[in-house]
Amino acid sequence: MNKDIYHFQSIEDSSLYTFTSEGIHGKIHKVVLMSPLIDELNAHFDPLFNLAFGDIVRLKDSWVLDDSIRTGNGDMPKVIATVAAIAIAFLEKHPHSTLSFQGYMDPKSAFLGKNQRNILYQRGINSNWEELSAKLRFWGVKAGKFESYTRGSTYDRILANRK
Amino acid sequence: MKTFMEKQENVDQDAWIEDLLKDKEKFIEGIKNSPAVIKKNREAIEQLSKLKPPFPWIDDCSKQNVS
Repeated sequence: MNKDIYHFQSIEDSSLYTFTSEGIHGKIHKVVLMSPLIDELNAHFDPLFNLAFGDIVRLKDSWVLDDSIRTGNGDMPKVIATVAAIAIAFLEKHPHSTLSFQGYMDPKSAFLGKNQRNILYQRGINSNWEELSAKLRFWGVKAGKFESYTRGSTYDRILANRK
Repeated sequence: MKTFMEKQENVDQDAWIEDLLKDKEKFIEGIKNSPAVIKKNREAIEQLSKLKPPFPWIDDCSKQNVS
């Protein structure tokens, strides 16, 4: 991605990445994890990974990924561009994989029936469409069906793989 | 060319990661077993396993292969 992104690091076998957001609330450590979904789904996706993204939170003597935190660090476009760059880096290392992702559904989103995080992520995809669509194929899941990704549509889940 | 600020940002991030990775296995295990990750993976399988063929990428991929 040619956009402004954060420096990121791959921690393990290119499936776990970290970077640090810097904004009005200071430094927030972020993590992106690609988990293999191993079951009958792989017959169609071969293989499929689920992307999880959130803040790194220290709990007692361990760490967790928390995707429910609204950081509001004032750098959302840069954070989304970084996650997109990580997704591309992952798919370059795993060229036959498909990535699936869905934003965290907060209570407000559930009440409104609209996944606000997905809308945000899709805004990031749409505003970088020329570059992303040159490298990746996208699909969306809507009303229980897959369709080719169309800018302007809102999806429950988004899938992408390398062209 | 990276600016001084960008280089500094990388150094800060690298130092933080270095510190974190002193207990790398525990960190990885904690992240992979996070309740949010387990919930997300379960939801993905539930949602995707309900979807029936034909899948659009089969058509897209075959077009890609032909061209």
